[in-house]
Amino acid sequence: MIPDGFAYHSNYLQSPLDYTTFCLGQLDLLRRAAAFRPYMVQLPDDQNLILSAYSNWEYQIHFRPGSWLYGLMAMIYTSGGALTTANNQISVQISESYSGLQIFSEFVDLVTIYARQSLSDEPRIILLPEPRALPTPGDYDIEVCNLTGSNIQWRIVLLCAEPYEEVEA
Amino acid sequence: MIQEHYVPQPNQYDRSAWAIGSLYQEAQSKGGIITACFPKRNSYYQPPHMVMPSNAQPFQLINTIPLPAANGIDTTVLSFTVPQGFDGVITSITHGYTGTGFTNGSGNLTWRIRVGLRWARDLGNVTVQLGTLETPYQIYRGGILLKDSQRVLYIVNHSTSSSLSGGRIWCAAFGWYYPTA
Repeated sequence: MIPDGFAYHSNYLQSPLDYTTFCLGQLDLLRRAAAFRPYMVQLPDDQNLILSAYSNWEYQIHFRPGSWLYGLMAMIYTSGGALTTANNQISVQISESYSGLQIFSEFVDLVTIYARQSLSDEPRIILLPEPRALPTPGDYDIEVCNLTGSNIQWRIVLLCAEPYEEVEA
Repeated sequence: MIQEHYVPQPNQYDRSAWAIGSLYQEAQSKGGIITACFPKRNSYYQPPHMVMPSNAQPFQLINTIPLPAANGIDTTVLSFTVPQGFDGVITSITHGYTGTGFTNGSGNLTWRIRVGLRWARDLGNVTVQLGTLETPYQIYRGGILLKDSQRVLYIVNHSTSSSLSGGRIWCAAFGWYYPTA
């Protein structure tokens, strides 16, 4: 086990047999690699973007081929800017543009990624069961849907490990 | 500034990561990992959501309900589930109100199409009647794509400020299912 920001989380009591520990085990390859650096993509890139009632939002992001996606974070705000943890407000799907391969089998409630029981909890990173390689061309489609009758704001952060461009694979 | 000049020295873990990444890359070049998992999957010469394949199953789903109470709550008019093992496409739709006094765009009635956990693109908040049962409204850009086992809801919302009474709401969806590609 590598002691780092994941292992030392104030809300997380480390156990050798829980989900996060196994995820961290899968991450060891990237955590020990030297030629990868952390790269975090925040969506939407316009922080003031408001998703209007009953509307969809689509976007395409580009990762450097050879990157790895290992985690997600999400937050939902009301149009007034207050954090909210209510269910069934925003649904999201992330899929590879080239093959259509999806990260989630179906659109998921963003609160699922949010993983906060209450607003007083610290934001958490949802680690994927194993890091996911992002091959060429490295384009991913993000689709977000506002299921409610009111305007809403949201954030998703995709946590990646990106290869240094100076290092030839 | 330091980072710009820093050239890391790859170690064995980098080489392992590159090796696994190259496997993904190879799978990608051969049609994606789905092809590797399902080598005998159905293949179509033309996009099956654009041109109905010979093994497709067409559907024409029509339903009507009495005008729901003016309570501002979404009421499902038509619902169906894509059969297991099939994808599908809705190529045309129609919805409307048979009573009198409704003005398109007034907001008294709003129709929505929900596919799984999202609204069909641009069809989450439709305040006008679309098409007729004789001439349904053709959806551009290839229709609404449906996935295996997805639940589709055709919904109407009767606004609380509405004074409509009587009449019926109809909703209909037309398209086809095809074996999952």
